[in-house]
Amino acid sequence: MNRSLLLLVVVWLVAGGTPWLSAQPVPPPASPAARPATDGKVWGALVYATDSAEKLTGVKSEPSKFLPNMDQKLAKVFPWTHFEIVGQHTQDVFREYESWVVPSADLFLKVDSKGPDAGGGVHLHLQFWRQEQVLLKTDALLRPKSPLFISGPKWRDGQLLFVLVLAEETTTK
Amino acid sequence: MKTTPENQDATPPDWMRWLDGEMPAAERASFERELAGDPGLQAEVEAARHLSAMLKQELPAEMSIPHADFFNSQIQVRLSQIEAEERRSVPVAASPWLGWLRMPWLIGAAAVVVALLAVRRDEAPSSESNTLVMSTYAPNPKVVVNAFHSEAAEATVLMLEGLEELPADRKVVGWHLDSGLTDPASMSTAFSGPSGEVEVVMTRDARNQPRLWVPRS
Repeated sequence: MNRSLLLLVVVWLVAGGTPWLSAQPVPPPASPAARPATDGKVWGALVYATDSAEKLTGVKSEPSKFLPNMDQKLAKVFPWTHFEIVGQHTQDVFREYESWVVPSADLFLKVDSKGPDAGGGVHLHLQFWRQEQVLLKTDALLRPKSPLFISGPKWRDGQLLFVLVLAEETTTK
Repeated sequence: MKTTPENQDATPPDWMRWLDGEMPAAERASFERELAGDPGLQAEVEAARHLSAMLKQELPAEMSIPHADFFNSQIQVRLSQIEAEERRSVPVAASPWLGWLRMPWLIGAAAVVVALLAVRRDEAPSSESNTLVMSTYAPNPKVVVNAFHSEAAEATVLMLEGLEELPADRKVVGWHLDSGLTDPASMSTAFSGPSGEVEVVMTRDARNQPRLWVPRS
């Protein structure tokens, strides 16, 4: 075949000039645009609460940027004075399928989005799991700057608590 | 599927609670022993599991109701009709000494009392900016759930009473995870930490229950 003709054909193909080529299935690019649609983002934490600093486990963690003054807020609800973030997880809330907030293997949360609320926040179906067992199923409207505290089982000299905060309402279309 | 008098009430059958992960540990162990020795029960569970998997595969995660506005309005109409029928069927108290119950001033006074009580209650849910709990259900009947809003903490609380304690010698290990992405085909989820590396993976076992594992361990 004439070399210049061959070159022309190759250039044409690379330029995507053929409709039948562009109609072929193309694997989705690994970019943020390809990520599944979300109805927001949540921050969940497993907190160990006790009445003495000496009884804390010693896990080092920064105070949450999603829930300033978390310790003070928890102390207004639960009968403990010291609070320690044992684990934390920031998670997108997927629109089409389930999301999991897993700060620990011991206590974690399944999150199903029921869609954003017109007045702000996201409607969620939550399942609170303890290892292989569902402790609680609940439907809630999680609103910004309004955390949800869930009391967990007693452990050692204190109690485990679960904190859930709506970190972002941004919707990926 | 077996239809016995005992599972005709509102209580779900044991195998359904087992599949849904709603059994406490002791009851689960006992049920699994029973399951191991009962081929009929095994077949029933397997059929339910197969049906569940098929439904999950065939049906979308959420289905929109066609003409939802019309559907909702029809429900409202029907509810109003039922209420009207109930009102008609309740005999009106004819005794004169009960006549004071129908006095308008009493209704007004009751409304004021109710309003005052609501204001005095620190934990009343309501504000438009608060997280709201619509419904709760604890599969374990020993667990009592109390939902309220704490104005002092500016938080909504789900208080679970009656939970079994976690053994004191259990080592509770926490993770710091930044994202989790689920593969819809395999229903497995990979969770990454701040560094972007996968730190935890969640898969499903034969009962479709979540199983967490750490790839590097």
